[in-house]
Amino acid sequence: MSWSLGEVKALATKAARGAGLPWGMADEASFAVHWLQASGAPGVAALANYLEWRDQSPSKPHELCPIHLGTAIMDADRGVSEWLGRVRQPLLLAPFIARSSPSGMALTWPDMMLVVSETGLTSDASRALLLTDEAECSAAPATAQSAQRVNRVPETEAEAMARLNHFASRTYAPATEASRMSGAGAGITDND
Amino acid sequence: MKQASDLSGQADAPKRAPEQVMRLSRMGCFHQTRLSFMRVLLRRMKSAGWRFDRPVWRIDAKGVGVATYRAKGPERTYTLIAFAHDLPADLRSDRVIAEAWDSTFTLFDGEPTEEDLTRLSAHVPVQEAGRLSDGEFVLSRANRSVRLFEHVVDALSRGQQPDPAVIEPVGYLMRTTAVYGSGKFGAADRETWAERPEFQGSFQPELLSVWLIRSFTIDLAEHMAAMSAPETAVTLKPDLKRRFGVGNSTGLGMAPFLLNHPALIHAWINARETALARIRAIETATSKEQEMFRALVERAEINAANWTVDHPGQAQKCDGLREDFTILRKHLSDTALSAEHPWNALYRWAETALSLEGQEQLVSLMLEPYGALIDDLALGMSADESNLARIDGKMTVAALRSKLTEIYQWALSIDFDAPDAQARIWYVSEEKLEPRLGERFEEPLEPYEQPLAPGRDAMLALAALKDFDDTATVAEFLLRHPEYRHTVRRLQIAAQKPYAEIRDNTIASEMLPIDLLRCKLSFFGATKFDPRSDRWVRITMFQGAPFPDELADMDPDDLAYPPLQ
Repeated sequence: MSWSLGEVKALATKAARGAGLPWGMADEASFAVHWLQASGAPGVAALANYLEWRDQSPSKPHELCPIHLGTAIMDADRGVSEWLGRVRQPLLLAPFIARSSPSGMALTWPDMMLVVSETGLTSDASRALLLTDEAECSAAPATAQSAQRVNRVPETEAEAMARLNHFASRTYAPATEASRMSGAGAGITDND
Repeated sequence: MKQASDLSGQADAPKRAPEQVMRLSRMGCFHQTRLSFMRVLLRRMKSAGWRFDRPVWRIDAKGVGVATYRAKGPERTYTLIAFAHDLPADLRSDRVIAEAWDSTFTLFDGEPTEEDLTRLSAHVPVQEAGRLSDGEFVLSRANRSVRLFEHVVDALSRGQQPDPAVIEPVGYLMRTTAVYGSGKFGAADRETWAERPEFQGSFQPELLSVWLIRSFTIDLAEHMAAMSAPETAVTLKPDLKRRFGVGNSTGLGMAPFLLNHPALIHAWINARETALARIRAIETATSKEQEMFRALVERAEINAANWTVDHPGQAQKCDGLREDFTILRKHLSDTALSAEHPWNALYRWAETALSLEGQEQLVSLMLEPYGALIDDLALGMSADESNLARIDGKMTVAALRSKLTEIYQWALSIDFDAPDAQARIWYVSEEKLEPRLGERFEEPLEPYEQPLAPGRDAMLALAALKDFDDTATVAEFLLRHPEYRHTVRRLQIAAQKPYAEIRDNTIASEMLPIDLLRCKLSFFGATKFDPRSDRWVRITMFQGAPFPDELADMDPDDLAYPPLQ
């Protein structure tokens, strides 16, 4: 069993929204997860980790948020500065850095260097390092190699997918008999 | 004011403005055109010489088993796998929340092995509860039209043809209740096949599936007749057989699509409006083109006469359309299409003389004689949405404000504090994970609201922009107001693609979701829109179209309207 990237993209949007991100930011989180998974990097797990942490500390929603920092870098469009700051799940920054610097950029944090470009990322770092919880990040121009594309999310991500599903379920309204009948507009025969 | 002759003198008549086209009342009157995706599919397969057969038919006398339909193109082969079930009547439901169906289907990329059939037999029959792989493109299911299926099997088993008067009001043996593609339930992502020439445009794998399902529904009825009365049973005569399309029942699940895919919707509407502009710019129509158009008006009138609905609003629109045909025929008998710029003149007349149903029907008919001039537009009716549209953070607040005011001009006069203006709320139900429409002030749904009210959100964003200087940037605005990020993204798309945004309030009390459904389904090529409420609609697909074994020898475009009696 595996998932399509489209399924993962849709799930990530809902999960980020379910965890409290505004819709437009949830779309960016989904973009980041899709981008990472298409490079074979654990985007689903990174977002699940970040949302769980955020859920425990809801008082300062933008603090250490890789989506917030990533979109701010992208929107400012002034090139990527050397020092990026401290974020949770720094892996989630990679897609935004790549979009800001399509030709290539090295994203680094202690013990880690990822070269990213518009084609994706290449890394032989361990999953644990890729999923570093929190780190000071910096960036520097780099020459990127063309990255391999992956078009499925493998079974090994099942546990992380389940964690995203937990957040996604917060966007679903509990059904009532009234909404069941009126919400979809049924109620007359459909068996003829 | 400009005279018609001023405009008609231009080499390329202007496209209709988005403020005119993108209103729900007009979108809810769209009819299929020769750019509709079903017709694009059949034209392409015909010109590329596709061949079709049915390698597997293992269906028993009760109509249970598996069948495959193979479509062989110049480069690749696809196979529709059909699982036929014996469904107790009390489980038959068109609702998306159903859990069992008469038949279930998948479109397989290539030719399935026995192992594939075995694997898929565990997943396809349970639909949403199963899992597909990237070797499958579409997941679908269909239920019998009980009233017609039994009539047809009964007649054929007695050696008779079914009664056309019974066939026509229904128009299909089965109706699909969902056709899922593009990565749903594990199926291949759109990107897997987006570059394949046979699938250029929109929804081509889905509609290939539906067209092959149509063959299956006929084969199944003929098979059951033959099994029940092998001595006397006959098959359907080709002309009568072609009057069977495939039904479809579509509810709110589809409605948000038009809002969630702004770039794609622009591509669709822009193609249709460009086609209309090209036709209106034609200086003279040949006598052949005039005759073809006049004949099609008569044929479309038959279609309108056969269009029966119970829904009061649509019934009124259908009555209006039938009156429009009377008015149009009268006008055409008094008007020479040999004059200069005949189509522009006719369109301008229609805007003053016909209902919206009639105007949009006329648009469809005017395109028909001009395949050579407009069919190329079909190739542009898609959008690569695999990457989220990037926000231009350098746009100034002045420009943002000005564009919001322009594109959402229609919303400026709406008081969104008035209950009617936001009476409705779009949400997703926990039960079936499907979009639903609720009453904002009667149910506790607001925490679950989906971002499907662009007009209201644009007005909120405008209000928030009051605190920003003209020279500030979008990046600065969004840093403080990330809650308007989706609004800014839509705005920036619509600023480039004018038909991307619906110019109407999608949460107003009087909003009709069937208008959204009608617009989308007309682009598919659907006919006989039959709203069963304001929220779901039945349609007919491929009615009149050639069957796979007829495609090489028949013109699918000529079959899009019923033949003259």
